[in-house]
Amino acid sequence: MAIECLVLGAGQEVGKSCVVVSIGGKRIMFDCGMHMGYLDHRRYPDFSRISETGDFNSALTCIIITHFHLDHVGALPYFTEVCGYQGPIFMTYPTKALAPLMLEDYRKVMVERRGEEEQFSYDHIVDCMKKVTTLDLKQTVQVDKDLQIRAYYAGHVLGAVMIYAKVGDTAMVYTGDYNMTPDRHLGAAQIDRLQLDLLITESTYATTIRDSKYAREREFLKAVHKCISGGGKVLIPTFALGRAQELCILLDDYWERMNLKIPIYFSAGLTIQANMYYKMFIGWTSQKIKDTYAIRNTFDFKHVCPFDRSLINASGPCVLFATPGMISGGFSLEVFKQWAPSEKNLVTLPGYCVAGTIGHKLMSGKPTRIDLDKDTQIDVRCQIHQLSFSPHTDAKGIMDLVEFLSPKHVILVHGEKPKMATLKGRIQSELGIQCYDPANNETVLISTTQNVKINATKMFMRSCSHVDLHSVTKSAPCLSDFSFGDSGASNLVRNEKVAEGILVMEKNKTAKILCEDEFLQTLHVKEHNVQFQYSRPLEVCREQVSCQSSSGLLPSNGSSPERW
Amino acid sequence: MERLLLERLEVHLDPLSDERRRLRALASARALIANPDSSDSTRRSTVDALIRSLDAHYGDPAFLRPALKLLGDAAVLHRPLAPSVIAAVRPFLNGGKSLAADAIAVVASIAESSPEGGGEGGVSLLASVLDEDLVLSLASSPVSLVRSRILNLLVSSIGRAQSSVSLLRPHLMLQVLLGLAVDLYPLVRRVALDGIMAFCEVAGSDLDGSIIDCCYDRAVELFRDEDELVRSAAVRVVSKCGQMFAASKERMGNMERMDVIFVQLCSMARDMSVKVRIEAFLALGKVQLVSENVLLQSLSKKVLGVRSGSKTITKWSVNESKFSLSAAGAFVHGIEDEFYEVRTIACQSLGMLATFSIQFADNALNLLMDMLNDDAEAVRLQTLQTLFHMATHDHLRVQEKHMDMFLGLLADISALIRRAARKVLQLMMLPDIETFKSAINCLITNLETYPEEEEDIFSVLCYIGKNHGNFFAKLAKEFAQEIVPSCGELSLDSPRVAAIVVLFISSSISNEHLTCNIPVAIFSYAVSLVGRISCSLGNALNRDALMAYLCHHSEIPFSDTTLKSKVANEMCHSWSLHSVISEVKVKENLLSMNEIATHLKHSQKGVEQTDEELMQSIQSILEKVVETWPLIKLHCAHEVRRTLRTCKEELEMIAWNVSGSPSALLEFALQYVQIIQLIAEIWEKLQLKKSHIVGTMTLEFLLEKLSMSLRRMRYGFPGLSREVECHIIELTLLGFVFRLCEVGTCSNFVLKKLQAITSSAEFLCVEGSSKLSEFAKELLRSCAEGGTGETSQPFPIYKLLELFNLQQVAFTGRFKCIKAELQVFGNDSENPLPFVPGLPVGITFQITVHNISTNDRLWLRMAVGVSVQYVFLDSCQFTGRDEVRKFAVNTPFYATPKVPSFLLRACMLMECPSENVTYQKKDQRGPKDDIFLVCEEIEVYLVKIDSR
Repeated sequence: MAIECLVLGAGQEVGKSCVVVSIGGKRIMFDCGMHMGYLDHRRYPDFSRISETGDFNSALTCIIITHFHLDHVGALPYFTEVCGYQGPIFMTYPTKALAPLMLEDYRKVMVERRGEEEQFSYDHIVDCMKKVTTLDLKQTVQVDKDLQIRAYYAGHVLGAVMIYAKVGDTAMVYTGDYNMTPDRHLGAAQIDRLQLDLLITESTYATTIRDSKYAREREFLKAVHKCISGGGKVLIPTFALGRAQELCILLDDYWERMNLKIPIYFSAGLTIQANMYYKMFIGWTSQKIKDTYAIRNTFDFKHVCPFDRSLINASGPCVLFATPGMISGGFSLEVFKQWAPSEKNLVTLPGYCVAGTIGHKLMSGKPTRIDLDKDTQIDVRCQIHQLSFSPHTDAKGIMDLVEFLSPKHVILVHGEKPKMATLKGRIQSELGIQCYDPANNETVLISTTQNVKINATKMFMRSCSHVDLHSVTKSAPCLSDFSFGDSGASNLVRNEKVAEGILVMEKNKTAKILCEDEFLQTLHVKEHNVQFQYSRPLEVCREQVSCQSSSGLLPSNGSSPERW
Repeated sequence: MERLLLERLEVHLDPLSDERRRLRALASARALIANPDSSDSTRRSTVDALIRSLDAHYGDPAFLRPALKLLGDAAVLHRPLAPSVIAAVRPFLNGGKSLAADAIAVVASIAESSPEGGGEGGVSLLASVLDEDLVLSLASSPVSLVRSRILNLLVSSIGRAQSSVSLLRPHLMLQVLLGLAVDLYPLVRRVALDGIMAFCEVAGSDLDGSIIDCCYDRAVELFRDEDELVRSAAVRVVSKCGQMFAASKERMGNMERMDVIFVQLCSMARDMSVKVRIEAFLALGKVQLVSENVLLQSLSKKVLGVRSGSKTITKWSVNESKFSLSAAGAFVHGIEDEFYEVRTIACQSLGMLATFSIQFADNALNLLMDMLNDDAEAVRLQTLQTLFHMATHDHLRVQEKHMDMFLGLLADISALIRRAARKVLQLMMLPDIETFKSAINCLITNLETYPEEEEDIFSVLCYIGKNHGNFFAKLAKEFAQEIVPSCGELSLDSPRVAAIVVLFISSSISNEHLTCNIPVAIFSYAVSLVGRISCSLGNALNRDALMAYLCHHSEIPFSDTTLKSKVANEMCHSWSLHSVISEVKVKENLLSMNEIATHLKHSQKGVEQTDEELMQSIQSILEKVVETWPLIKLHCAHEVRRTLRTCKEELEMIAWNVSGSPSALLEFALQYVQIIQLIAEIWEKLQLKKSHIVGTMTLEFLLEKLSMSLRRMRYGFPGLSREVECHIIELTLLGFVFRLCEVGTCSNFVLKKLQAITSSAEFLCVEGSSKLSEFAKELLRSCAEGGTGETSQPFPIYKLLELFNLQQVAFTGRFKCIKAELQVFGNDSENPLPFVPGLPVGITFQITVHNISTNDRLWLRMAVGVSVQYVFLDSCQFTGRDEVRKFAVNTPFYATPKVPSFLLRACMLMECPSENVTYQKKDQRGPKDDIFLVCEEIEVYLVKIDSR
C-alpha cells in the first residue's frame, strides 16, 4: 500500500495550509486555509487538482481542520458553500467556536473596508459550520469502516490539535501548527509513541533555536514596569485571540506578585468575547490554569478592567490592550495617535507585521515621524519594544518530535524553502529518516511496507510471554557471593527469547501460529509413536536367555512424523 | 450455637451440595473464625474442616480461591493455626497454575503478619515454604498473576533479609529480576525494576562492576518502554547504577561512561510523561563526575562545538553529534516545563550540578535568574534555595544584568520569597558599585513597605555593608549627606535613615580604616538603634559590646568604666571574628534553608526552656480559676466574672505567640476557663430561679453550651491523665444536676445517661488510685435509688449542689488536642460564591485537622437558618499520616433558599466515641452520637448567580 500526498498549500511557503493525503483508497484533506498575502486566485488552494470534474464529495473522504487560524480554515466556507463539498468536516470544539469569529471578522474587513467583492457571505459561514463534526482530545473517531482519526494536543492556540489518521496498517500524523514548549496559557504538544509511516510537520522555524521563554518574558516585563513606574502609558496592540491572553496572564500575575495598582485595560469588543471562550474551554489550557480554575479562573483577570474612550487622555500610568495587532487601523491606531508623541509612553509590537502597516514602519528603524495620510502626521517619540513570543515550535522542537515519533518518512510543510532544505538535511543525516519538502501542487508518493496478519493461539502467546528461568539457572555456575566472574555476568544478560511455533496455513483462512502441543488437536489426528528397533542376530549360547537390546530404542517423545 | 454451626458447616462443605450452599458455608466459617468469642477448639475444627474440603474440591477454583483466602485470614488472625494452614496450602504452589497465585498470597500474608513483624522472621518462614526450585518455577509460570505475586514477594524480601536467611541466592535473585524485567506485562516489569533497585541498594558497594553493567543495560533497554511507570522505574535504576559507578574503585575509568549516563538521562528529560520527566531530573541532579562539556551542553539548546578531539570514541559513545543532540538543552526544557513539579526539580538539580563546575554555574545562573519570574511560588522559592546553595559553594557570580530581576523579588507579595531573597542577597558578592547602590535602595524600599521585617533587613544590610566595605567607602559621603540633615533634627524613625545608619556601623566595624571617615554624629545616632541592630545580628555581636563600641566612637561617656575604649577597640576585631564564625555557621546550615519556611526555629534548647515556663504560667492561671469556686458558691458574680475574664485574657495573650507542644495545654486551659465561666453563670441563674422564674430559654442554652464544652474537654484531648478525666466527669455530672434542677423532674433519658456517666466515673476510680468525691458518691446513691423505682422520688438536688467542690487538679501529662480549621478560599462578603436558588451549590472547604485518628468520626455541618445538612468526612480523605493533615472537600449544599443572597454557617463536629445512651433520631441524617465542635464556625457568603 502506498501513501499519496498532494500538497495544495503551504508547500515551501507559509499560508493556505492544505494537504490532501490518499491512503488505502481514502482521501483526507488536512486543513483548508487561505493565503493572506494574495488577493487573486492564488488566495485559495487549487481545488481543481483534487477532482477534474468538480465532484468533491466522491473525491474526498473527509476534511480535518487543526485550528482556527485563517491560514488553516480560511478557505473552508468557500470550499463547502461555493465549490459544493458536502462531506464530513472535523474540528475540535474550541475551533468550531472560534473559527466563525475569525471568518466573519475577516469577511467584514474584506468587504467593508477594502470594498472587495465577497467570496462568501455570513450565511455561508453559518451553513458551513453546521456541517462540522466536533472532535475531542484523544478521542478516536471511526470516520468510515477503514479510516480512524484521533486528535492530540498541539499547544499553539486554543483548540489546536495534531491529527493521527490510520487506514488498515498504514498510519500517519499531520501536525498542523504546534508548540513543544508550554506558555502561560497553553500546554506543550503531547502525543503518544505511535508506529507511523508518515509524519507531515510544520517547519515555520526550521533553523531557529530559541532561548528560554523566561528571557523574553523578563525583557517584556522589565520594559513595561520601567514605563509605568515612570508614569507612562503602555499600548499593547494585539490580535484578540491568543497572544492577548498570554500577555495578559503574564501581566496579571506580575501585578499580583509585585502588588502593583496600576490599571490594565482591555478594549471592548472581540477581545472580551474571546476571553469568554477561553474561560469556557479550560480543559484546553495549560496545567497551571486547569489546576487553579476551581479556585479562580485565570481568565477572570484581577487587575483588568474594560476601557472607556474617555480614559485615553486621562492622567497617570496605565496599560492598554487594543486591536488590531499591527496598528493597521481601528482602535489601536486611534490610541497610538494620542500616545505616540510622549517619550514616557511605550508601544509594544508583535513579532511579525505586514508591510504597509504602521507596525511595520515602526519595526523597520526608529522613525520620528510617521505620515498617516496627506494631512495627518504623527510624532513618534515613545519607546518601542518588540515582542518575540511565538506559538510555533523551534527547530529543536521539530527534531525532538520527529525523533520521538520516529516515523518512516517525513514531509515538511509550512515554512520557508531554504530553511526547510536545511532541516530536511538534518533529519536525513542525524535521524536517518527519509524526508521531503514538496512545493505547492506537487505530489509525493510514499511506499509503505505490507504486513501480513496471522492469528496466534492463546497458548502460543503464553509460551512467548515468559522466560524459562530454569534453563538459565541450570547452566549457570553456582556461586554464592557477588563475584560472578565474567562468564556468570554474561549469563545473566543472555536472554534471546526464542518462541517456537508451527505456522499453519489453510485454504481460505488466515494463517495461524500455534504451539507444538496444540498441533495435533488442530489437525484432528491422533499421536502415533513410532518406535524403531534394531534387531540383529545374536549368537546365543544354550544357557543364555535371548535378550533384546534396549539401548537401541530411539528416544521418541511424541515427535510425530508430520513435523516439517 | 457454635456446635450447631460447625455441624452445618461440615454438611454444607460436602462437594455434593450445591454451589450456593458451599459459598454460604464459607461465609459462616469466616464468621466462626472471626468472632472473638469463638473458642479455640471451634476455630481449629473449622479450619480442619476447610482443609479437608480443599482436597475434596480439587479442580474447582470457584470454591478453592475463596477457601484459600479464608484460610490465610484465619492463620493471620490466630497464629497457632498457621502451621497447619501452610501445610495445606503448600501443594497448591506446585504446578504454577493460577491457583498458585492465591496460594502465594496466603503465604505472603502469613509471613507479613508473623510475630517478629515483617522482618527476618517473615523471610525465614517464607524460606521454609519456598525452596529455590519452587521459586524459580513459580517465577517462570505462564500465569502472569503468579509471576507478579512471587515477584512482589521476592522484592519485599530483599529489603528485609539482613544476612543469613534469604529466599534465593543473590545471583539467582538477580537472574529472576533481570529476566522478569522484560516480561510481557508492564506491572511485572515495573516491580522487577524496583527489585533491581532494592537489590543494588542492599548490596551497596560490594557489587561487582559487571553486575552493575547488567542492571544498567537492562534498564537502558527499558527507556523506550511503552509504559510510563516502567520508564520512570528504569530511570531510577540507571541513576542508581550511575551512583554506584561513581562510587566504585575504578571511578576514573568510568568518566566516559558517566557522560553517557548523563546524556541518556537528558534524553529521558524530554519524555512525554510527567512522571518520567520528574524522575529524570531527579536523577540528573545525582549524577557525578560528568565532564564539563556535556554539562554545558545540557544548558544550551544549540549544539555546542564538537567535544575535544583528543578523545577516542569508545564503545559507548555513539555518533558524536547525536550524542550532543540528545543532551542539548535538557535543562532549558526542564525549567520551561508545563508542570511546576518538573520545574522545581529541574531547578534543584541545577543547583546540585552547579557545585561541579564554575562555568556551568555561571551559565545555569542565567537560567535561574529568569526562573525568578515563574508563576508558581514553589518554583520561585526553589530557585532562591538553589541560588543560596550555589552561594554557599562560592559558585554564585552574579552580573549586573541579573540584578534587576533579583531585586524585584524583594518586593514580592509572599513573605517567604522576600525572606529567601534576602538570605541569598546576604551571601552575594555584588559585581559593581551601581548594583550595590540599587541593592541598598531596594532594601530600604523593602523596609519602608514591610516594616515588620526590620530585623531581617537590618541583618542583610549589616552583611552587605561588611562584605562590600570598599564600595561603601566610595559612597559614604553621599550617604552621610543624605542622612545628616542640613538643619534641624534627624529623624531615626524614618526607615531610610535607620537603614543607612546600620550600614555605616556595620561597615565601620569590619573595616576599621573607614571609621575615621564617618561623622561622629552617626555613631551617636546609632546608639539609639543599638537594641534593634544587635537583635538583628543575633549571636554575632553582643549588645553591650556594640554599645561600648558605639559610645567609644561617638565620644559619649560610657557609664561602665570597665568597658572603656580599650575593650571597645578589641570589639571591632572580635566582630569580624564572630561574623566569620557565624558565616561558617550559615554555611553549615546551608541545607537547612528550609528554616526560612518555618520561621520559628530558634535554638532547640531555648524553645524547650520557654515551653517549660509557659506550662508553668498556664498552670498558675488554671489554679487561679479553681480558686474562684468559693466565690461562685457565695454568689459574688461580679468578682468571679472579672477574675475569669482576666484569666482568659492572659491565656489569649500567651496564645499569641505559642506553637508546638504547649498549644494543647493552652487550648485545654481556655476551654476550662470557659466551662467555669458557664458554671458560674448557671449557678447564678439557678439561684435566681429559686425566687422567681426567669428565662428558661437562656438557661437551656447555657446548659447545652456547657455540655458541649464538657464533651470537647473529655473527648477532644486524647492522652489526658486519669485524674483530670475524673475531674471532667465530675463537672459533667454537675452539669446534669443543673439540668435536673432546671427541669425539676428527672426524665428517664437523662437518668440513663447519668447512670452511664457515673458508672464510668466509678470505673475510672476503681482503676486508678483516686477516690470518688462526696458529691459523686451521693449522686451515685440517689441514682441507684431513682433507677429502681419507676416513680422516681425527687433528687436531693440542692444537697448535691452543696456537696460539690471544685478541687485543684494538676493538669499535667502529655495530651494532644484534637482540632480543625475550616476555610473557604477566596470567599468573603466582597467575593461571594454564586448559586442558583433551589439547586445544590458546590462549596470547596479547605480543612486542616490536628491529631485526628482514623477511628474518629468527623462531620461537616452546614446550616442556613433552620435547615441543617451534615456531611460525613471519611478518614480516607485525609492524606498523610502526620499530626497535621490537610485536604480539600468539595461538597454540595442542597437546600439553597430562594433568596438573593444568604449566609451559610459551617463547622466541623466530632462524634463522641463511646456514649452509648442516645436518642434514636432515625429520620435524621447526621451524627448518631453526641457531638462537639472541633473548630470555630465559619461563614460562607453566597449570592444568587445573576444578582452579582
